[in-house]
Amino acid sequence: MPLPSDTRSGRAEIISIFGALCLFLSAIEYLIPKPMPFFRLGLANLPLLLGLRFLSPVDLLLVLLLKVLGQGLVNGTLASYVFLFSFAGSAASLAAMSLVYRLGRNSVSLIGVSLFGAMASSLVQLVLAVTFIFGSAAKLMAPFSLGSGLITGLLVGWFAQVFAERSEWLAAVEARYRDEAAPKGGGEAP
Amino acid sequence: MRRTLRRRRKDFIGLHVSASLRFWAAAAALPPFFFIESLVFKSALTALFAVLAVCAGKRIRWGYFAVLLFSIVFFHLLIPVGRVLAEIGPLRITDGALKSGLMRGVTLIGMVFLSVAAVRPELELPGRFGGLLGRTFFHFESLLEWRGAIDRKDFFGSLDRLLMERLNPNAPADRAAGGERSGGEADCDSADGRQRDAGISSEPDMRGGPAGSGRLSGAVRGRFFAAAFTVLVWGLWLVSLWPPLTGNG
Repeated sequence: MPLPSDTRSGRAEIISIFGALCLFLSAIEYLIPKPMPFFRLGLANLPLLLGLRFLSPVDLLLVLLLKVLGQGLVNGTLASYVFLFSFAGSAASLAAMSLVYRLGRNSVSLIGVSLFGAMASSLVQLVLAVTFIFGSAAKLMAPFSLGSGLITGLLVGWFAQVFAERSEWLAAVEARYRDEAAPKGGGEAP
Repeated sequence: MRRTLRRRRKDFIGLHVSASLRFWAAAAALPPFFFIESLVFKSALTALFAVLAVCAGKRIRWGYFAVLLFSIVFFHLLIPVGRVLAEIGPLRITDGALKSGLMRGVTLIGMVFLSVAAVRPELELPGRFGGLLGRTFFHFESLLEWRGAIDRKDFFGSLDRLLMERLNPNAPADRAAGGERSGGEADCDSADGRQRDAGISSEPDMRGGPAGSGRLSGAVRGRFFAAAFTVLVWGLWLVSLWPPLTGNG
């Protein structure tokens, strides 16, 4: 599925809405007190997790790009190592979550999917930290990094699970997206 | 959540230089900044970038960057390289590890300062993806205007209501039909907490574009500032190569 040609079409609108929700949750997250300065909950990944249920892989990728580029522009970190970390971590997380979600469609909850995503993100960011910032001694940070990934993965997964069960908005967006994505003569949505 | 009222910081650079010009000027300044091998010159440039970030209306959390620099140096010191300068308990402070840690820390922090000074939300990306990003920012600002509606005690419910109200794709088109990228009318004090990821916070004035950008004098002035900045950074790199300064003379 290519990039939407009309940025106000239904499909493009839903993609941009998901991107905006990523940025909004990222802003909300900063209002939540953190136990440590480097600790991040990763609420901005929630739309990606919710989108796994119905967005096509291309559209998920577009939401990911909107999220990391949007954060880079809003935070002004587009031209710094922060952007590289954000992009690599989010991409690894999306790849892991997509894989787990597709392989275990009916047997893995969103909490489990989120857990895999968080661990993948933590691992990739740890590798980048060792390679580009702290040097090989940063391997000492691995237990802390993976431990915090475990906690945040569980929290965001629980959040997604509850929101997916209760949200009228998500149900409306999903119905609209499937309607848009379905071929004109009928057929099945992605 | 409580709406915090904080005084907006003025983007002095934005008064003279457009979002795209400052981005490209910073992009041109990055290579020489990377190439500089002198810690003194690199630190001087990092200080200059910090000044520019402050001029761009960003509030720098110095403590965050101090901790970042300290941790980078600390992890480098764990692997001794070169002459031992001092010993603190089991930790040997070696000149090679110290210099390497400082260089890497200063480089990364300088990049962040340069980036936050140069990258503005008004920066428009070309093509269809740029249009999609513009719509994303439009929806984002629409949400931020109403973020006070988020209730801590009923987080899920209030978020769902807010999304139904502001971002319902089945709603009449009048609400969804906004500009590609909000310009002059955006609620700009809504950024509290947005720019803390890299130890930066600000209340950016998103009234995009330099003042008088339609006038030739404003555009020429902007180009002059951008060119002067780029020449300065490249010039410092060339000076840093001068043999007496590199120790090879």
